[in-house]
Amino acid sequence: MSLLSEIYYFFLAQETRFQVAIVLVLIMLVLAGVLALIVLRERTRKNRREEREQNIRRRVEPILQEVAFSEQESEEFKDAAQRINKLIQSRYHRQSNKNILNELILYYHRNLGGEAAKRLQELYRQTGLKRTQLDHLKNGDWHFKAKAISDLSNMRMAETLYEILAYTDDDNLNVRNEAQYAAVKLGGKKALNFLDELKSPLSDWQQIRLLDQSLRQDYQLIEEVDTWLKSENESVVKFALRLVRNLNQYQEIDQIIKLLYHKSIGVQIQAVKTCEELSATKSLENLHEIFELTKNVKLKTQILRALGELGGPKEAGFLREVIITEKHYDISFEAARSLKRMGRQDMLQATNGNLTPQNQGIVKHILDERI
Amino acid sequence: MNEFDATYSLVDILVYIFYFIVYGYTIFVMTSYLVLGIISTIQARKYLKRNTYTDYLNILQSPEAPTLSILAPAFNEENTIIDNVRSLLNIHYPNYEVVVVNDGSKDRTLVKLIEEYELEAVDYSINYNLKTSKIKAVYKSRNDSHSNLVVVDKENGGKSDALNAALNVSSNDYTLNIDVDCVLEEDILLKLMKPFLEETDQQMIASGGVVRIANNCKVEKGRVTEVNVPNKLISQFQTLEYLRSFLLARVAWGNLDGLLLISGAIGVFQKEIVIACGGYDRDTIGEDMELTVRMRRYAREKNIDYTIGFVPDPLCWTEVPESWSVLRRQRNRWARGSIETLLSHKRLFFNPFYGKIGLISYPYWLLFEWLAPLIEFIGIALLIIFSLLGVVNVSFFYLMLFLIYGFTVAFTIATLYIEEITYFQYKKRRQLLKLLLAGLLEPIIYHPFMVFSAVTGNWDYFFEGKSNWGQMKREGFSKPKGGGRKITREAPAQPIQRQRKLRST
Repeated sequence: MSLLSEIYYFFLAQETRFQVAIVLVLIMLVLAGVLALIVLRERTRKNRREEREQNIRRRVEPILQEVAFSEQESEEFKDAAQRINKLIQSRYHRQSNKNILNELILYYHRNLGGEAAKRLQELYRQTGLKRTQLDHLKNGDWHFKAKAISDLSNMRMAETLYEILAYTDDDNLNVRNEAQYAAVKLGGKKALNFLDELKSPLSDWQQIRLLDQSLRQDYQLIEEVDTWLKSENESVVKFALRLVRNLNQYQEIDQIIKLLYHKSIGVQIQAVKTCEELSATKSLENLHEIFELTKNVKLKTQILRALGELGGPKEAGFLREVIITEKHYDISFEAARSLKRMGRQDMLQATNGNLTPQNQGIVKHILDERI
Repeated sequence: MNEFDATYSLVDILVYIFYFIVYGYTIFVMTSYLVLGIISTIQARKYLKRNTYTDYLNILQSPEAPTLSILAPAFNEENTIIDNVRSLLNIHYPNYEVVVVNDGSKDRTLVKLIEEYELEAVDYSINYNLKTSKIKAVYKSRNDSHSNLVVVDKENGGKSDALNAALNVSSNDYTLNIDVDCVLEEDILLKLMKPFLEETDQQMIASGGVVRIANNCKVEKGRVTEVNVPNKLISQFQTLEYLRSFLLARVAWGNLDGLLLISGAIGVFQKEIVIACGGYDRDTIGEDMELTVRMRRYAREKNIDYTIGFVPDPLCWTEVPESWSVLRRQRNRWARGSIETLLSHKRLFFNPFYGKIGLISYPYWLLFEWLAPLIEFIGIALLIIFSLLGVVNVSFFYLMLFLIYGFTVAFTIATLYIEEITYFQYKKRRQLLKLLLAGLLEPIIYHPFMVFSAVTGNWDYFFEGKSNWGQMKREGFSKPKGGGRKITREAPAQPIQRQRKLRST
């Protein structure tokens, strides 16, 4: 009898629980071995990809530099595109090589401007990378779509704006965010029109991105902002307020003053900030009123800050009164800071005798020029 | 004894119950690890796919970015404090302050800070929301380029007390609470703040990140510039342990919104909630876990629709003990910290009011983090006794040991695979082989040691009433073969001043 059959009969002779345990032990040992091989294979694969990447980079970079800094017309890039496509030809690694090329052109494009960047954009089209990204956009999983949108916008493929706009209210958050951002990047502030109908919330992160991109565009008045300030989507209102104060659109002030009474504290705070940034002295009475109405400490401190920026003697007296009567640390602190911002250190010094020890400490802090 | 007699004796029944508990528990633990591993792999890959096109530049340049305070308690850190503070001042973020708390150091920590950063005492007003030991002075720099640095000098009160003082002094809505001797990535704030800014449905109250091991890594100007596997086997074991813990378990728990621990080495918190729930507990040695659990309890009890995030990127590098005695004391302390937190929040146990935390996270932590080493220790001890008495089948016991060994090794290699396809920090093939080898030895050498340390931690907690931190001798970031900075320091950990009374269980 062979050794294997001996083992087999030994196995059969065991109780069931032993058989199960033996099988599980074998599975674990085989699994560990297989996993170790997979890890080592993955490492080899990675090293080879890195070598391939370096190889492609070494051969493609001179062509990219030639294209970027030559005087050729765009039709003459066909030759360069063909040469590049030939270099990345591979039976097994075509897609991977294409990705490497994509990243390489993106990298160069990011670091170059003007005509050189435009030439690279043309090369991007002629090498078929734009087509590939559009295919990903139509057929890929969410991460392919989001990456495709991001790459197309980074390469300034303005002609793809229409396709991208279709995804600005996509069900997938990542695709939606990238599409919104790309739309503004490619289409300017006009592309913000997607906000008119936007149902999904804009996160603060996304608002910062969109704002950043909007501020990079040439200055132009955004008339649609009035619609967004009245939107039922709270995040759209907040974004519109951010936009208004960063673009100094004072003409919206009446609507902004209405927003001081909004049901959401977040919107109220943004509205106060906007009044402050726009130097809207017209809002002073409303700010006083909201200060009395609200119990929210963040809103109160934001109002005190605005009063310090916008106010005159009346507000200085009000701030002084707050420092004397207020017990909440943050509110007293902001009132003192606002008074200093108004240049009324004299009033701060004069209040010192009437203050609680806590507020005396605050005044000392505010008056210390070293802090 | 014949285990399969038709009529069962009392001993038989007891042995079967014993089998059921030990083996059933083992299978349960293995299954849960497997599930967590699968969840975290999916999550980490999803995160990385998103990161291929995420641009953090927008927030870096935005005036709308939320302001943040970095809170760094320091105790006897004279050898490294200057470099560490410099690295904190060079983090990429638009608007933040650094609050360093000198917690009654007995060395020249404060003097060095004053000299290097041109500090002078100022009339700083402090909002005493949280009770702390006496604050002696607050310093600001005369140099405008360090205008965002605040140094607090206070009487010694332990890490929790120092963090509470820093919370009182800090002026921003969010705080990054760190261990000052950790090496942070430059983009740590951008990455840790992202979950707060992205959340639209719930209130993000805290966010944690991955801690990696810095032993033998090349550290230049307060940054890790070359990642290496530690040279000593004991640190390699810990590397594997950290990989499993952060890369698999915490990513998965973060995804399930069930994290009970934001590491004390790195975590961003919403200050308002931290203060509202009373800040760090000065009487506990597991202050990081205790605060996380208390924040969760507070938010739930106040009907706040909240969540806690976790960022799978390696953001913070820390030095781990390279001596078995120091490691034993550290793990002993961690075990006591866990017990303390779990017992002081026992109300959560299977309490449906607390949702997932009460029904899943807390029982999981109790069963698999606290009780696992005890069950393992008692199980093995009983098996040895039973086998000596001849009442159990020893062969089956050995088979089970083999099974556990096989599973542990397979799981470790799976972790290395996930590291390989995600963050890929150990780039040299030799380093990978070192870790694979350590993975084969870990269940035999390191795991029993961990069980022993945890058991002594339990013993010390319940029978000795110990509450101090013990001594942590740091070897410093050693110079790798390629060169790098050598820091050698001995940083005695902070004793908690008061003697904790033994808690009634």
